[in-house]
Amino acid sequence: MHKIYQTLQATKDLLVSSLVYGEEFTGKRTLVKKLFPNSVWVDASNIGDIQEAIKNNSHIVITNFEKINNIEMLKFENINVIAIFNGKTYDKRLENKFAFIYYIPTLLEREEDIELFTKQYINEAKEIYGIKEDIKLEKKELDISQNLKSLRRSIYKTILFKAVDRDDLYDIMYNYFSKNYKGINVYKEHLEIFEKALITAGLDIYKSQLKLSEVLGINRNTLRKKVNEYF
Amino acid sequence: MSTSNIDYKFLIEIDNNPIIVFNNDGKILCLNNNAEILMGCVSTKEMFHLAISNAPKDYGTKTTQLELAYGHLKFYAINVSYNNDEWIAIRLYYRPRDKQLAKRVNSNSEILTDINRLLDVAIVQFKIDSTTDIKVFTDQDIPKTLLNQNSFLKLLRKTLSSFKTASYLDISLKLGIGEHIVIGDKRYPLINLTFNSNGRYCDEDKSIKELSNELFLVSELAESSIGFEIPLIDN
Repeated sequence: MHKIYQTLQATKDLLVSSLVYGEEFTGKRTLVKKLFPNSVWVDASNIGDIQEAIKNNSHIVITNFEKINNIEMLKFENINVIAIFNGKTYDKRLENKFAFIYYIPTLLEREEDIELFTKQYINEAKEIYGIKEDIKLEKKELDISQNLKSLRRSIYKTILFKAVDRDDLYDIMYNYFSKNYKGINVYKEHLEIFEKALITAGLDIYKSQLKLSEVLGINRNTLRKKVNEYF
Repeated sequence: MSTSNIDYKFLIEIDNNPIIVFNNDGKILCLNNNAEILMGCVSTKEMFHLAISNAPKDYGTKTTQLELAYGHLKFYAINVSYNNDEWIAIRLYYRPRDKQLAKRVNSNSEILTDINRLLDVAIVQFKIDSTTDIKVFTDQDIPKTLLNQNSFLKLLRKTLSSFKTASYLDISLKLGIGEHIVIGDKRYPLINLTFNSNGRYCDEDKSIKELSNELFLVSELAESSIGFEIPLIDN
């Protein structure tokens, strides 16, 4: 990524067309925005807008370039163009349209970036949720299936859960139950939400049903019955 | 100033013509930058044979005029010298040429461009996913020339990608000595840009040729090298 950053930076004052492609949410927009803050941004869904932007500006960024079918209609002359393309492969005709083509790898292929963005998102989340103490997340808590989008979501969610107290939990459950009070068997249907979480956490802590039944203050046969029911 | 301070090795190193020094077994003892590019197009054995066949009978120097072509590199004379039996040197003289191009369509997309700058950017981009060992010999004082930057960078990308799996790549950018191109009724100096390696892909050759024509460049594509002659147009 660092090399791509450096090369793109070197083309800032050249009249050159570059294609930046890769899966969604890999940070293409963030990268281009940082390097070309003064470029005019246009969406590829309207080819007329692009032609207008090409005519009136020296630096433009075209987003969602994968939406364009009629590439031949576009002429990049005397202009600095960055086209952002969502997808792992592109139409080979684009090789004749662009001077440079950059592939932004998925987050899975950029381990150093996972660490960097995790730190950034943790700080953001701490700020929002008003958390002061240090937070360290396990790798298994990070979801990178949708690159930066899912990483950010998983971090925010995990940190939010860590910050929830008894009152917050009451509010969350109250909200949920209010929206889902339907039918005639509501008690039995919703009891699982509370009981399953309570038993799972207890089993993770005590590792033994016998010990857990003592701690919960219920008969071990009752506990076994509930475990069989929920798992 | 004493002449002992003169760095003759440096002068040989930067000489515009290839200079190669062999030992008496035909092994290369030293060679200058331009000879490194030449040796990408010809074998050591062939070059040594050329030196021996054209050597003076006694210690001294001998210049022979002959037409030679190795890849896109063309020469009109050689000079072979030695003053003991331990070494022998050969110097090859590039052939100055005047090329003719009937006309050239002026395009609004051409702007005065530092060609060294474009080459730098193209190399940095190429290095993103290539491990090829690149050596660049450039004349940093080449004046700006009118170029379509986008098309020229496209040409450089395609040219460099021809060498994407090569172990090494020697790139040379310099003003052609005594070489000119006549376009219409005007005479322009030529910039020589050459890429030499030990092999390359040819799948982009058609596209490289087309882009060169579009840019009014003369291109020469050989088995392991690509060369361009770029008119230096600064007005």
